[in-house]
Amino acid sequence: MKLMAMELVEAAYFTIHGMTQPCRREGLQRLRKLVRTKKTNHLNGRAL
Amino acid sequence: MSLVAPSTDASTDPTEAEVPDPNSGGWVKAQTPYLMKGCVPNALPNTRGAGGGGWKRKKKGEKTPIHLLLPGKGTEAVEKLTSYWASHCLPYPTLTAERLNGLLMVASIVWSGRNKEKKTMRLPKDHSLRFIRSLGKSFNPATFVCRAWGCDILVKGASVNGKQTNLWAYPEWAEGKSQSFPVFLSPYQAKRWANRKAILLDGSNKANPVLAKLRETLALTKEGKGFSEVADGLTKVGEIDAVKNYRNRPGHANLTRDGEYGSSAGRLPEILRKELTIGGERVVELDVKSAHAVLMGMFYEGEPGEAWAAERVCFTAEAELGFPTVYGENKQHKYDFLSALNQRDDVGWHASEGYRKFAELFPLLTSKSVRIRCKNPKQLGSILRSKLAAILRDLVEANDRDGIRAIPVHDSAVVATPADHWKQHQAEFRTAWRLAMPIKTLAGASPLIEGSNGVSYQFFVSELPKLPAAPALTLSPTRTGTLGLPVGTTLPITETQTGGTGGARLILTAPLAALP
Repeated sequence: MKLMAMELVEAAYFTIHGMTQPCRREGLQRLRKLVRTKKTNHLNGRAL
Repeated sequence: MSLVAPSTDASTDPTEAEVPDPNSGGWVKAQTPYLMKGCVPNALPNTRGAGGGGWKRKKKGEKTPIHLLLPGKGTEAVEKLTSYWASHCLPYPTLTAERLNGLLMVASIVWSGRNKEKKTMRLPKDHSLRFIRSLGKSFNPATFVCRAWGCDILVKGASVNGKQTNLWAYPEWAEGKSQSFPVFLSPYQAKRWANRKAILLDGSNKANPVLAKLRETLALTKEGKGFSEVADGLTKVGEIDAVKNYRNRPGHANLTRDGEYGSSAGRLPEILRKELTIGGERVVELDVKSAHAVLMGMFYEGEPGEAWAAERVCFTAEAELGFPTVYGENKQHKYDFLSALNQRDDVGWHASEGYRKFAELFPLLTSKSVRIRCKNPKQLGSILRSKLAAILRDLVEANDRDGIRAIPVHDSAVVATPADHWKQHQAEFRTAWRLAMPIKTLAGASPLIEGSNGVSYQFFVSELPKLPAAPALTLSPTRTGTLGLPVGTTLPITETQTGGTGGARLILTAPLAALP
């Protein structure tokens, strides 16, 4: 689970500071995928 | 007995030696041009495999001696081994030729690997057991050899990885001199001897998996396009020597007593490290700014009372700003201050303006550091170095799991950055995270991680006292296609990096309006 926080921030950072628009889009997709996966469900219950 | 006396046959007639004849395909007597001045035929380049022999025709069934390097006069070293065996090795009464040869191989490796400056010798038990197996695992051949030679033990105990490694002083009777000693080894032993470097390297890699990974990375490390140009422009003697050392031994890596992973690539000047490539990929160096000073914050841990807590708050604020008060406006006191951490308190006080400022701002922390340094002024630096080394060791391991190649350099890491944007970001970001978060956990202050490509990272993670049952958070995409997160949205996480009872809060401070 330690990796999870790193992965989230990593994807969020890339979404915001990605060099090009496709980069930022890729970051967003990764962020969504991370949020949808089971391992992040404990973040805020089943609301995700 | 399979030993022979050292060869003293300097009077051999050179004209008696034979050399291959290119015309007839046979052998003819050597002419003088084949021989270097002062050489006997047996000392000529070996063309018949390992073990010497030179150009001399080898008779059928004739054994070739292997020359082992032993201290003093070789015979004296062997005599000491045999007599010590006779007096001390009651469980193993028979000293067979094979056992003696095994001991002599260990003795030669111990002696060849000596530290000439410090006059010390060492060989891990695991390594020495690979050359003599018949005496069981409880027998330490390196210890036997050093005791037989009458050496004093300097440090007894385990290495960083828990392997038994004793440090021995030189044998006094040898006076630092060496002599090669010819020995007839069995075919199995001769093979082990020929492969001794690979065997020792394999033993070292098994004992230190991180070092093995680092060696793999160094094997892929090459000089980039601009390396030679920058290297030619160096003027300082130390920097030029570092380049020479790197070019002589590009794959060299070692583990220091503090647990630090050193390499010839890591000792290059910073300006040259940027010009390296790892596996054909460009590199980025991520450096922890003021790593030792920030790590000083770990000494607040376990100190009770409000005074300590209040001072810690000030220290954290100062550390996260980059110690502007201690270092001065232009960071003119930075290096003096860092040197003062490795000096006696009174010396540091007089020598460094930065240290005086530090003591004024953080009197409790300074008093604790003085207590640490009272017996040994370098103790504080050693503690900080070993903590940092452990962080970098974990970083190399974790990065290796993610397929990111990294070379640790004191308080920074050189990482390969692939051409792909996401992978490049991943390599940089994960390295920065793995450098910063353990320091944050230990010291309570988040250090600035500066990249050689101009990108810097600083992570602020604040603990929540208790995680709310169901925080109002929507991360699902909204109809506009964005995350729907306002600036400063909190992402509560139950598993914390800091190991507290609550959670960790990650605050996105950048404007989300930049999203596509």
